[in-house]
Amino acid sequence: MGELTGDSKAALIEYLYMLGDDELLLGHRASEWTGIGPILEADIALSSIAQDEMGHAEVLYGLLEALGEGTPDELAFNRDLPHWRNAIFSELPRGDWGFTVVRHYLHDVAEHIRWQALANSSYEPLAQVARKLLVEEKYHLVHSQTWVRKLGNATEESHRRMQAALDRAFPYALGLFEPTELEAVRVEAGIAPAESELQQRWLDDVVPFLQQSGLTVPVEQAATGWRPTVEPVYGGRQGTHTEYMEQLLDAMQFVYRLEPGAKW
Amino acid sequence: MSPKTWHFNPYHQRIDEAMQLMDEPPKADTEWILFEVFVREKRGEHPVHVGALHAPDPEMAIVLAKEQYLRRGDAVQLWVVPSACITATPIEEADIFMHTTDKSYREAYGYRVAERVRHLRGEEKHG
Repeated sequence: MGELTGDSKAALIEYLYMLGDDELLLGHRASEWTGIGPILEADIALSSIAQDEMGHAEVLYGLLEALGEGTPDELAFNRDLPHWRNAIFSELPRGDWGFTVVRHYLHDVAEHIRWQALANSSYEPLAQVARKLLVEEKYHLVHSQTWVRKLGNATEESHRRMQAALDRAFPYALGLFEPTELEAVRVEAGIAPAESELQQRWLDDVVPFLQQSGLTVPVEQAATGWRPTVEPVYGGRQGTHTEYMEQLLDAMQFVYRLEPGAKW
Repeated sequence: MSPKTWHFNPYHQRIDEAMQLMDEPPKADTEWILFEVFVREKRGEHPVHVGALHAPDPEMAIVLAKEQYLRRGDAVQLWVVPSACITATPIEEADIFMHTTDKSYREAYGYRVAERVRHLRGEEKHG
């Protein structure tokens, strides 16, 4: 693509914050399990995945740095709540293990679809990042899929917890595809596909899988494919967040803000 | 943004919950099976034993072994084998492998590999 104009540059920057913020917060919530996972091997696997997600956030923040937004540390630790563009989905507390794996599964599929699409982005640095992250996300998806499939049907308790987890997570997951004003600019410039398109591909993927895992999904069949029967929870992409996000930022930013820019 | 008080004491929360729900928490070996893990670093090489882990079944063992043993380093393939499939000699009976009489006829002393390789490469030294 040619030179980034004011509008398309702003649209790109917004998008990179959306993606990077989701990665960082999901990685942070996953890291909360370190030391208290249900069993040692599960603890280690999720902690490693948490590191991966934070690394992905760092790469995306690196693209923002190249566009003049600040260093990854500044973006992660010195940014106030209204400037964050994650979906509310990513800031929710970690819940029980079932909620964590359901949330990861729903996000991993969304990421897989998104990175595949962005591998053809007109913004070449983003296309390159998408191709790299797609490779690492493959394992994340295998991990979360395996947990969801096994826990969905295993025992009465696991089924009950998994269904409760999905019931809670699903409306928030739809918020991953919240439309924004600058979306049209992105689509026009070939930077990213439309969110509604990604959401449809995502539904066509997760609904059959969740159903096969023994879970009920709040959707109905329509001519165009699956359609949600619950309202999405929007707001995150506009900078509207919950008290969970306040607590999360307090914890995550506390040390850095004692002395911003300190050398470790 | 001033730091607010927030409660994050996961250790205490979990212990309290466990004590409320169970008289005695189950032991690890009663629920998950032990697997031995092998890693093939490159194609054509032998899978090498790297350790063991607990998992509920073989598929989960693969998924978890990837992070237990391949967070760093290279690999092209991962094997898991239930430890119960392994038959082993008792360590106390290691003497069945000892050689107490001369078995040098089993060694390949006479087969000078390096010399033959040099010859094939056309590098053999002339006396």
